[in-house]
This record gives sequence, structure tokens and C-alpha cells, in this order.
Amino acid sequence: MAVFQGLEVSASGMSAHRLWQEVVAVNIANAETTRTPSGEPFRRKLVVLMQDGLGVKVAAITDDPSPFRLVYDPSHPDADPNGYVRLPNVHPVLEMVDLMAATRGYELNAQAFSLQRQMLQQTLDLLR
Amino acid sequence: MPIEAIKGLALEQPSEAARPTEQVVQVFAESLRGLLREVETNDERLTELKRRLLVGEPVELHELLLAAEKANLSFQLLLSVRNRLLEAYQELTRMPL
Amino acid sequence: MAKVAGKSDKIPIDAEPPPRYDLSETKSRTVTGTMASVGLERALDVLSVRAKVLAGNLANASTPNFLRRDVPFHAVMRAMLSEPTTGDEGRGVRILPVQVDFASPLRADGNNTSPERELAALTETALLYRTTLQLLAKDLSQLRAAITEGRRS
Repeated sequence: MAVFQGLEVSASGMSAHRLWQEVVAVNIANAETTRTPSGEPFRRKLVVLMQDGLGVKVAAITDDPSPFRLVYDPSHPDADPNGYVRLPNVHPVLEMVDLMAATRGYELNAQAFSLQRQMLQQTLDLLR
Repeated sequence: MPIEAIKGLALEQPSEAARPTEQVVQVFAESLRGLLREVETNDERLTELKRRLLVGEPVELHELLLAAEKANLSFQLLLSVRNRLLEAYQELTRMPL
Repeated sequence: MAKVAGKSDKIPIDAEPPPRYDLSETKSRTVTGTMASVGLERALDVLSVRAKVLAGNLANASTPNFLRRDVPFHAVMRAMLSEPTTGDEGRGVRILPVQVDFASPLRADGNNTSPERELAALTETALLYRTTLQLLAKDLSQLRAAITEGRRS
């Protein structure tokens, strides 16, 4: 309904930022995962945010193509013949920055939702 | 003749009584007019403040809301006075003469 | 890499143009259409559109290459209030100008929203909305009193 369009927009903002948060959480959790079911080390995930009408949506979740980190550790079970281990291309500090941005985005959209709900509520009260 | 003297007296009395009534009516009409003017002034002021709010010119929120209250109250007063006047008039017309 | 901050910086295929809001079919002469209250009703229209637009900015606060939008509320009101309120001619503002903001500075990801600013603007909009609503309510109740001649029954 067009009446609630503004609320839907803020809801989409909350959803998108929430999903982004979760993706970042997955990245952080797998910062040291050297072996995934595909046999490869964990690859950092990115969210593709896209405009959707007035609001926003997560168009896709893709892989970060940047190279894995190489660490010399011959004793590691996943070390290659030269003794290097490929670690995920995840940098905890960057992930923390992302997490803060995603959380902040979520909160701001929640506030926007609340403000608009107030406006609608006040309008309804007028009819009484 | 004494009759002329009495006649003279009788004619004077109504005009003596009429002057205070006229004065009362004048005073009342003036205060009513004053009330009307006040309602109009308050309404104009309120409209101006509303315009300022919407157009972005400086206006204090409390100024605006107080003006709204004032305009409304003076209008209600006018309405009350008008109703009382109407009642009084209707009562007068109902009086058997 | 660092500046991408967890999002792809691919340019969205269809960057959406701002929506059109058509006011033409509203607000002709009515019983309640006194000068003051028509302005208030229109203000509510504009404010509710502005709120949606600002909410949209906040939803897209992290979207790469997104340019913020806004509605110049006061300018629109000035245009609306300078029209004659009798008759339908001269209704200057038919389409609400939802403008893309090309002036605000771009961040590294091509986005030019400022979340704090959007929220401040939205808060202001909500407050203006509430004030206007209260003023309109007062107008309507006064009209009601005039109609019922102050009788409560």
C-alpha cells in the first residue's frame, strides 16, 4: 500500500544492513578457515547493495576476488609443497569497521522507521 | 393651565430614561465590535505565523501554538456571546405584549 | 580494497530516477478549503513525500554510487502559497520536485548521503508534520464548532 511506502523503504534498509552484518560475521568467523568443502580456503564474502525503488536490496553476495594470504608454516596440515599455507583474504580490522557501519546503518533505518510510524500514528489519531 | 405643565413633564421623562439605555447599547456595541476585531486580528496573526512556519521564515514554535490557542479561544468567546445574544433576542420576541 | 568496506563497488545497472508525485488531482474548492487550511493540507502532502525520500536515502546509506535525493520543502510551500486559492488556474506546483542532490560531497564509494544529516532532516520533517497536523486539527475543530453553533449534542 502506498500509505506505508515509507515504512517499507526503512524496512528494506533494515533488512539489507542486517544481511550485511551477517555476512561480515561469517567473514570474521572464518578468518582462519583454510579448508572449505570445495577444498579451497574460505574466500571473503561481499554484499552487493542496490537501489530498489526508493529503498534498497542486497542484489547478490559475491566473493572477494583479492588473493589469499600466504603464511609460511610447513607444519600446517594444509601447507602446500613449499610449506606455505593459504589463509582467507579476511582482515579482522576491516571486518570490524564494516560491522560497525552495517550496525549503524541498521540502527539509523530503525529510527527512520520509528519516526515514520509516529507520523502515521498521529494522523490516525486525528481522525478520532 | 396645570395640564400643560403635566404634559411637559410626561414628555420629558422618556427621553431622560432613553439616554442611559442608548449609552448602554453604545458601550455594548463597541465592545462587541472590539471582540470581532480581536478575533479577526488573532486569526490574521495566526495565518501569518503559519505561513512563516511553512515557508521557512523564523518563527518560534511556542509563539505559533499560543497564537493558535488564542485565536481559537477568542473565536469561541465570540461564538458564546453570539449565542447568548440570540437567546436573549428570541426570549424578547416571545414576550407577550 | 579497504575503501570498498565489505561491499562490491559494481555500479548498479538501473540507477533509479527519483519518483514522480503528482498533486494535480487534489485540492480543489471545498468547504474546508480556507486559505490557511489548504496550505496546511498541502504541507502535509509535501512533508510525507519528503519523509519517504529521506527514508530512502537512509536505506541506501551504504549503496555504492547512490546519490541522495531531497524535496525543497520551504521553496515548494512558497510556490504553493503564492497561488490563488480560488479556481484551478495557476496551480503552479503540480509535480512535486524530488531532486537528486549533485552538490553534496561524494564518499570513496560514490555515495553522497550523510546518515546523520538524513536522520536530522527526517526528525525535522516529522516534527513539522506533527505541528502542521495539530494546527489543522484545531482549524477543523473550530469549523465544527461554527457549524454546530457550539452545541455539544
